[in-house]
Amino acid sequence: MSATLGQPTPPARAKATLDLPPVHWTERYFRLLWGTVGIVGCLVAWQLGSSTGVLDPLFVSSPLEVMRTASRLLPSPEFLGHLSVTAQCLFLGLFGALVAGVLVGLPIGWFPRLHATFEPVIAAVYGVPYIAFLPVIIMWTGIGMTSRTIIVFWSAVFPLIINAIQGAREVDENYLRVGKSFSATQLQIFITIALPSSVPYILAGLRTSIGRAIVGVVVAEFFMSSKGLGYFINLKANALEMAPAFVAIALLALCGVALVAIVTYVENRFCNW
Amino acid sequence: MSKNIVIRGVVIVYRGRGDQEPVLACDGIDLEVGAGRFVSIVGPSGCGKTTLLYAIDGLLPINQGEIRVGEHSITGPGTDRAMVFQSASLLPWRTVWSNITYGLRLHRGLDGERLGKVDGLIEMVGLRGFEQRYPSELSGGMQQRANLARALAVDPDILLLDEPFASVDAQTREKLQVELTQIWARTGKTMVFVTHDIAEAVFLSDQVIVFSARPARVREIVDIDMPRPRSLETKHSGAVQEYIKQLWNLIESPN
Repeated sequence: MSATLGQPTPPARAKATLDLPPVHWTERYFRLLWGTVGIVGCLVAWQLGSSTGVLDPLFVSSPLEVMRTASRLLPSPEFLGHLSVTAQCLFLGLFGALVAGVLVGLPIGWFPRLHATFEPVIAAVYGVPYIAFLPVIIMWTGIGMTSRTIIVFWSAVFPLIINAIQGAREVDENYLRVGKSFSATQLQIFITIALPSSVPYILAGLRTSIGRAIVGVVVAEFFMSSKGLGYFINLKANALEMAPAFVAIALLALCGVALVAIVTYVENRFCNW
Repeated sequence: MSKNIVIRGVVIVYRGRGDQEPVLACDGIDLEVGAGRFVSIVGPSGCGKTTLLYAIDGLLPINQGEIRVGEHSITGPGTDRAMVFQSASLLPWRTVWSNITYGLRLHRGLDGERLGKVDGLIEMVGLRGFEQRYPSELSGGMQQRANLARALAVDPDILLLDEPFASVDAQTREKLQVELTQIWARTGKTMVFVTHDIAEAVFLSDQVIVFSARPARVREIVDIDMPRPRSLETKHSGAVQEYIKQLWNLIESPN
């Protein structure tokens, strides 16, 4: 097999020689620019409202006040303790939900009999607001770290199960046929075709789950904790200390944004097909 | 190295999914494909050519009759046959290299000797330099080269090709046709090629089998008596035109 048949060479990555006019920076950073304008605009309005007295600073605090408070709170071990309790709960619950969602969802999607059996149950449970299960979970598991982690898990697991099911059901027939043609076993087809082809669905489920998990952890901490950002917000707001409450709220927002950014990164890196 | 195929009285009722009506796709097909020969199947769209090809690969069950490959009557897919699919069907999350070695890895793994063979194969189908690319980065023609290499990689006795060049542009198609005849000559594999394109069938084949409209029956077997190796000039020669005219008349005329 030494002779070659008309082999095309990989396209050379030559530099374009066309002289195009440079893109103006307002075009290049269009979304970043206007997004920043939006956020800064809101903060300025908030600050002006607060300092002119249009908004009552006692109830709404102000961005500058919140920032001052943040610089005081963030290094304090007590506040970091709250943050770490929430973060642990969130990560453990989400991770458990990811593993369980894939382990439960993919087989249900893959085997029609399992799907026919469990689809109605899952649809019914998914239809109920997950927060409604909170008192029940408290009754079952008491209050504490474990119980809160279970609540986060419960909040996050359904979008993952449902997306994993969909992923396993919508594997391209052509790919399955390739596996069969090479006499792959059912298990080989599942692992080499169904699983990778479901990854984008699972990641999309994870996005939804992140938001739900954050709601879950905060609500759980409102009711059943003496630690965590949810507890902290509740405590401070009730004492009319709005600035610290807003610091914690901003951190929760950051947390969500960061987690979603990680998922987006993984999607772009590994699922760009 | 290569094996023959014997098809006797094959009836295939194709069942779609759910409550679709079953369709009689093939109605008593008798065929023989000699070891190492290149045979094309042509016929009206939807006549059941692809159905028969899938049955030879073992992807579809047959309802009556028998398909023998070499000594054995087939009951399902096997490593003695490999399929080049109409849509390239490359796994998009795998690189070209990983796609081509997919079938090998399922069964035997990759040792030094096989790696060397795959390397030669990549050279032969003209994918050198593209090994680490993803299918989405390839043109349609290049995807079909990878599709072909993936099937050849398991070193089957029989290669089944389902309109592999139908969706590539005309220029690339002609090039791929010439290359396929060269690959066939070099590997000596038995090839069964399904196509709509009569000129393509004539150019490639030792024998062209004409199917009737559905349900498919064998209407005619035409031996293509032209010297090899064939080049693009062959394709535009008078002899080829005669065969094409003859086959067109067969396909167009009522059953």
